[in-house]
Amino acid sequence: MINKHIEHIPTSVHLLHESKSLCIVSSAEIVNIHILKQGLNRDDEHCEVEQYEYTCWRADKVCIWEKKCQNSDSFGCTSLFEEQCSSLPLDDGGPKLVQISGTPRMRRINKKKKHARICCEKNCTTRIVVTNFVVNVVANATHATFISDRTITRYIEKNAFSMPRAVNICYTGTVNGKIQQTAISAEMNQAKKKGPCGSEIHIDTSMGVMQIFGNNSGQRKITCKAFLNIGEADFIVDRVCAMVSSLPGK
Amino acid sequence: MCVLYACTASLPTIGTENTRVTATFLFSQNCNVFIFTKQLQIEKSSDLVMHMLVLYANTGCKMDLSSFGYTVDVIRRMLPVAEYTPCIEEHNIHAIFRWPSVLDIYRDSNSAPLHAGIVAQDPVVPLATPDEGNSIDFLKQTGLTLSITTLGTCIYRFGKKRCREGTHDTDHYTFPEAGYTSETEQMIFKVCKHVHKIVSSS
Repeated sequence: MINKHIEHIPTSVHLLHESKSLCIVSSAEIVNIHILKQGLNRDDEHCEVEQYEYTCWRADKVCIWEKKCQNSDSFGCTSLFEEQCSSLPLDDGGPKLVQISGTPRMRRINKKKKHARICCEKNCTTRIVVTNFVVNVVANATHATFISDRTITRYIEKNAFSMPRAVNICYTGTVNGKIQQTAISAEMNQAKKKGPCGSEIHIDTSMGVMQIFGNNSGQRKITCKAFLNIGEADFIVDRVCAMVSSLPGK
Repeated sequence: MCVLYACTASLPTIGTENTRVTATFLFSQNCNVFIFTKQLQIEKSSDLVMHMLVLYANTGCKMDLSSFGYTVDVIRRMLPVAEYTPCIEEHNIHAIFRWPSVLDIYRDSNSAPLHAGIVAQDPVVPLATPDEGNSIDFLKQTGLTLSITTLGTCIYRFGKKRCREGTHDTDHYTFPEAGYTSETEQMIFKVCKHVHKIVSSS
């Protein structure tokens, strides 16, 4: 929920008073974030989420609002409100609900049956989801910082259509000849190391990884892993095959 | 500025059984430096062959991956028979499609002569060049696994399959080696694009 709206939430909020509230309003959704300084120690800090769905039916100058709870403990519990809505436009959605909610303009009523004529699909004008996110923090907290993984909000961009692209290609081959691990390590500017999977020599390159396995009757199996095309893998194998070792001082 | 020049002279008579010693002369205007280098005699004794090829793509839209959903239906209608493993609720959000032979898909994606059924009954497709013939053999021995999530992320994994062709007890038998070239790789990329276009349209 926070991730979804992270671009609209300030990174840091100063907690000068006992509580701080933020409200994000759109035509179909209202998100309230309430930060309450109540806890005595860090163990008391916790979050609560409440969600309600508001549905509005309008006939003439009367609007009937239904507030339906979406929480698991009281799912489906409803409350009804009546609003005299002559002065407000029809389709304000979230902003309108924020404006009238909790005011005398929105009067609680008891029975839907009485208003069945109004509460039908053709009169339905608005459906709004209201989420209350309550954060309880310790009383001596000075500020709250929203450090949500903002990369998640960019997920939509990552989800854009893309054609297949190679991300990992592995090849197998063989080489023969007397291979000097020290010479290869020195030439490739790498520490002498054995590789995983039982390989004797492990060569990291910017194009991928080449592994040389044990001698088997003069032949050695090689694997090229994490390459993007065979041209690059061939290049690295040829590079190793063409390698020389320096013998300074001779 | 000191400019270095280098030249190499092979001295094969100095080399041992597995090495050849070469002399490299580096010299500049003011100094002469001699460094001997030893050629490691490593030779490639066989061409590289792909054993796993992974491609990433995205359909750009959410996918209906249910067993009787649209994606499954489109893939069944437009691609060769695939083994389908649905999403497992509360366990993962991806479905898996497996094709035992990429060649079947390649035939689908390829040009008119292959579509026309000329070679449909012949497992070895007659092609113009030997290279293409090798590639076709390779595609025949290669399987494709597509993992696709409800968010449209597609992972295409091509892999050399172990052969169960012919007899019943040849689980450990492997296909004879088929050549793999950059042309083969391009054919695999082409197959993948073909599949992805179909999957993305679903």
